[in-house]
Amino acid sequence: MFLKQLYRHSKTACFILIAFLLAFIYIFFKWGIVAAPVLQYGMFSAPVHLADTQQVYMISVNNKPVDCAALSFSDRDILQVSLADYEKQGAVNESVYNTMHKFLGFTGLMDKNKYVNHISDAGFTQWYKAKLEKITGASVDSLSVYKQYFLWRQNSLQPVGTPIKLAFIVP
Amino acid sequence: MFLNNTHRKRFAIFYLICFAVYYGWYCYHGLLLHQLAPVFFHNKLDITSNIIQLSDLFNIVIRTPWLQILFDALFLLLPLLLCVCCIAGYRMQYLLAILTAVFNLIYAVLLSSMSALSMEGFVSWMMLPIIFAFRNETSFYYTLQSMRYFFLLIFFSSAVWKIRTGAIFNTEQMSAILVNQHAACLVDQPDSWFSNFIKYLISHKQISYVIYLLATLSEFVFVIGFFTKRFDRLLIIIFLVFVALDYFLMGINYFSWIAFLGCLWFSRLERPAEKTAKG
Repeated sequence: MFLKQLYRHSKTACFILIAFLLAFIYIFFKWGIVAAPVLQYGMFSAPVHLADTQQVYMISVNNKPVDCAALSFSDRDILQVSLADYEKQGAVNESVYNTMHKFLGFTGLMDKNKYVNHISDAGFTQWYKAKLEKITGASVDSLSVYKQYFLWRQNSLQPVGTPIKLAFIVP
Repeated sequence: MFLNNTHRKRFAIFYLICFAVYYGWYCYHGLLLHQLAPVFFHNKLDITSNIIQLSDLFNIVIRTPWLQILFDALFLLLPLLLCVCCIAGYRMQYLLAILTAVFNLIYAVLLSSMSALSMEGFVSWMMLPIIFAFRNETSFYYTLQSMRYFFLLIFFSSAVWKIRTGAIFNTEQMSAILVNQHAACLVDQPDSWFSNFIKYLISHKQISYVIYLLATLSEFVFVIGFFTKRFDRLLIIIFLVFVALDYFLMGINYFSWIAFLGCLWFSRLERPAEKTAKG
């Protein structure tokens, strides 16, 4: 048996391996917090349904829509995911701070200010415009972004509700 | 045949090639830290990330562009130095291996908190440097085997997750995943060949469900590696097909995990005699 052989070779190495495997199994069962490099590898495991609402950011540069489908997967992620992440970052970071305070609060080093992004909406817009210019190769004179919800109906994604203009994209 | 230093050097070269290709890919797509020039971070429920954040490193990196360049440079240089030391047999490889693993962990935490990249994609760069820590052939054998078990566990646990959450029993799971994954593409270019292909899979739920079942099965079969090493070459082929299809169908890049395949490739080589270890 491998563990037995490893124990004979090095007790320390055997202990580290067992601790690592136990941590992996614990995090697997605990279903929530992880501790890199012990992660949860449950990609695409959450049940999803065709009736779920999809969210797409409709980006317009110089009054022309940006064709995200024509971009590489990574460029598309930069344009779409960074908007979603920025929109949620305040709430997400605060929630993480509150949860992690239970585990790391004893260090006395947890400071709420460290969990706050010191950037204005105008600063984010400027950064986003620079990314757009780099990815599309065109200068961005005007930019507007709308959040639109879609539903899968009749073999295509159909818009539902009215598009919501992103207030944090500053003209 | 016994596992020896030649195999370790070959593994180091393979690791370096994998890493160089991956780094080049990141560089080409503008995904390195200084290329992204992040302006905000989003934290995760990850204890390691939050221990790092105790030092306010996220905010420091965001407001210090030269630090971003330094991190990118170290991310390239450390594995390079490690592999050179491993091939040349320098004594400092133990220290360098630990340093590389720890640094890559920090780099992964930073990059995944400031971009759309996931931490899972970096796991090979965090873990594999440890294999090269030891000059001793027996120690190399044991770290290689341990890393092999870890890789098997990653894949096997992915399949178990799909069973545990019930996703595997949801017949429209893959169709719904495809809609979610390619929503922007389906909206912007609904008539492109790729959108039409994806739409075909979405509307033919049975076909897409079979793909999901096969993907789960291909993850599940890695369990066999816990009992025998006889099928490791077959697992390599299954893994490569899985990664290629994952990129084509989902647009997800797990190419970094290819570096783990060295563990499966060399797994059947026998343990060096203990006298070699002590020598």
